[in-house]
Amino acid sequence: MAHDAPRASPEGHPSPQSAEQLDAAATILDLVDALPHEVSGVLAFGDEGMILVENRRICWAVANGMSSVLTELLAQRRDPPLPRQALERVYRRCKDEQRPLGLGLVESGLVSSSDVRAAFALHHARAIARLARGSGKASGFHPATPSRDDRRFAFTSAEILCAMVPSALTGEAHKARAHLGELPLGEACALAFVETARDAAPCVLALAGRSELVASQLLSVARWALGLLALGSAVDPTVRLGHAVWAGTNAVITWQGESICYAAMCTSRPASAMLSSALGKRVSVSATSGAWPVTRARSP
Amino acid sequence: VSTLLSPPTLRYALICLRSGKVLRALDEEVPQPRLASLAGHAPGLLEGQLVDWPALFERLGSQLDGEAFRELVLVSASHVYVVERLPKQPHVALAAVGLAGEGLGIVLAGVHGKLAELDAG
Repeated sequence: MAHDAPRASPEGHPSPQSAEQLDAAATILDLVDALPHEVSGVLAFGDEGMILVENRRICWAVANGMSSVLTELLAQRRDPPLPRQALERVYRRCKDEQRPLGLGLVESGLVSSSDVRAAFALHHARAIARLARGSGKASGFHPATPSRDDRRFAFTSAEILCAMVPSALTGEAHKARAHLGELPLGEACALAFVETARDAAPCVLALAGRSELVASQLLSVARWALGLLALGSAVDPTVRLGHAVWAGTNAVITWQGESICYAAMCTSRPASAMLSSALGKRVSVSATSGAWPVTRARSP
Repeated sequence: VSTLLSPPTLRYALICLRSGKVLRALDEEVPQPRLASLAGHAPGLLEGQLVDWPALFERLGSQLDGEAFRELVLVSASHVYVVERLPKQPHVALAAVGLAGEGLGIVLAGVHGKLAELDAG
């Protein structure tokens, strides 16, 4: 039986613990997106760690003190946990035969490709969170031969941002993905997020639709949306949806669910009208039935 | 035309986006408290701070003109609130409040009709 929620790792917190750390992680992820297309290589962080990048996708990331994290994450994908020795034998064989690790793990039959993808995403997210807790400064980019591993085991920076979700919010992330999956998003780029109790750093739970935005843009949209909903709640405490249109056809829509906030960026009027209409009906129905709580007041 | 499109519950005011004050209620002498509250928060609602929107939409393959949001809609359990900048006076906006039960499309059609009427007049 596969596990969706990993247990806490002894190798430190898997997620950024403050707004500053989250912003630092987003800055690192933005560096990946700022690299030229089609380039492969190592984004080095001195002796703190590195990120292996291929065509702006993260193939591997590691930071000091993470020697057993991947084994632990993979072992926990099964109940009872997989024996560490079996996984370590696969690592050694891949290394000796110079075979890609992701494919090697799948071919071993110990784990599925979805297990590998989930474990790799969490591993790389932890590495980048750890780099962000360090200096967060890249020491250089060194071109290298592209990885021969399956593309399924490489991630966009936005996917890694979502993988930084604390395990306590895994259930919320499932809910958010399900909600976004029900909406007529069309060509919109949508995200789900929550404002963590600890500080004002929004935690991005899920993404849907187009994926061109970089990590820092996603975080800034989440912060703006929280501010707009808070300001809206000062006008009317039951405001749950805001729709803002720039000159032309570009619009951003934000709405609040039971415990999760959402935002969607639309570049055409029909797309934003269709989404707003679908959400407007949900807001009215949910408000009448009392399913959605009143927007929490917060300083804009 | 705007009268035909506009739901009967919709109430309008012209507001100042610098001061957050109601300049003129368009349907009655004294603006509704909801319109006055909307006017007070409208400058912040339309600002769009924290995000470099032109850079964001450029990444999505679109381009932005202007420096801030043109239109803002809020939907609550019972009401729809709209703030729409006047094209020729960007620091002045048409604010509107209607019942949510009217339907978002109908409310927006009414607001856009009223805006065209103001623009022509």
